[in-house]
Amino acid sequence: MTFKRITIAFAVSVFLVYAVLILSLFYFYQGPLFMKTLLSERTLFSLRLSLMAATIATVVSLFFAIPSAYALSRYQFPGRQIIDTLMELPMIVSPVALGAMILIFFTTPAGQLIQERGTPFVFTIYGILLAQFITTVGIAIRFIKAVFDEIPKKHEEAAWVLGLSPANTFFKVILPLGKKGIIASSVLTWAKALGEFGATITIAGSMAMKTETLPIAIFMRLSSADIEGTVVLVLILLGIGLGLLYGVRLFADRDWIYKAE
Amino acid sequence: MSIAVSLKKKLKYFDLDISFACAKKNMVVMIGPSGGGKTTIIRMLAGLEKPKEGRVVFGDEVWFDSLRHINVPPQKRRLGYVFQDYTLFPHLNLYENATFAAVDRKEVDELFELFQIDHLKKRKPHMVSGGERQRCAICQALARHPRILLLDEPFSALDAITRRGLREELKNLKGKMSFPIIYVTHDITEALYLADELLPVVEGKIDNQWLTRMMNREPSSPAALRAAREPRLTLVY
Repeated sequence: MTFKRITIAFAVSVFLVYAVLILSLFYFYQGPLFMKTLLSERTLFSLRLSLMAATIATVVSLFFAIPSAYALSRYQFPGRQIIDTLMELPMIVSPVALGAMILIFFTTPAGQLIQERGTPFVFTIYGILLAQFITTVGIAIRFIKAVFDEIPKKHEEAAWVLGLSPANTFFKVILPLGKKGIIASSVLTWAKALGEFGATITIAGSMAMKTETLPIAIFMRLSSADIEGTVVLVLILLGIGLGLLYGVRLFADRDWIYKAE
Repeated sequence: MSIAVSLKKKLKYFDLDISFACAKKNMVVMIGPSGGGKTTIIRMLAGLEKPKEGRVVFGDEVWFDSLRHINVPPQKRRLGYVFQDYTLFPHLNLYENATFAAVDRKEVDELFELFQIDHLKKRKPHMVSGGERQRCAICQALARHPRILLLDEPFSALDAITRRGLREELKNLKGKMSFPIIYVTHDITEALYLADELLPVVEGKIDNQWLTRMMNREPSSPAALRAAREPRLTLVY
């Protein structure tokens, strides 16, 4: 076997593992049940809640991630290394631990004050948003920083020499050049938020028709041994996720994310 | 307007320590082996890099003065700077690139005609040749009405024939312009063809003997050989 074939064999074997997992869903798939479960009030609520929460959390994450990523990509400042390292918190700590940390924060005096005087987060939709924001913002910064790192510094310098202020350079040169990469990062952030489970259930609980997102609904169905129902919900989540990612892939392949020339 | 420069900075392999001046309508060609600090000097003039010590005075404007803590940002120096590569913004077409900082868009049309790229206005930079890109980059720099033009090996990534053509265009242009031009190259032919004044820069210092050494004598070290190889090759064309 040539080296090329060996590497391809590895890729195919990983693909097969995932494909078998997806195909095994259909062992318990029941056609009529699919529509019935999909159109049930509880599923529709979870679907709406999930889509809405993931979208809001992604928008807020991007609002913080885009300027942060630019700062980390371009500027030297005291504490940069520490900030850069702590951005990986959601990746090094398991989501449940992250959720526990959020929950613990809300039992401190400062957290309790926010709960009482501001917005209640524990067992509410705001808790879902917070959990999704916290688990995605660090990752979004990572993704977008990689996009900015790819853009040569020369383009900024050229813009400065041509008289553009740093802010104008960011909006007129850096953002348009990174547009495709930022869109791709946003979609991945959104998918990550949509699938978030550990932190969400820890902080917001699993109340049907209140804080039950799709991944939580899957967990609830599974724990009550409703395998057919679980299959339906997994298929819905899978359909949304794969459809979206495939769309991004097509979008990214069709045109360039960034080309040096 | 003329520019007077004196710069000092510790670089990785040597100390940069240089003083020179360039009068209006004059073209100073900085020549020397690669890695000798030429680009660093140009970047300091543009305000993209900060010297450790020194002064840069343009006319009666002080752009940099280490003693008085003056360092005018690149945006306020109003100069034209053409880089060796990555010169244009890849997301804009040639016309949008040239008008990016233009004082008057009509002038850009004239410049495009002068440089014979007006049929490429709508093309993105990756859809035209390297020579056409550099022509557009010169248009972009000129359209801003620069008070001084800095050209950092603008043609070195191009093939010899294109390079010779552009060299001639640049020489014609020089006659029409009233500002000082500082041109960086490691190509001796190009330097001799364009320069009003030659400034040989070797390891961060002016070395007036370098040019004579390079042309008269066999290179003494492998490094000198490397530096001299390309200029000699271009003499063939």
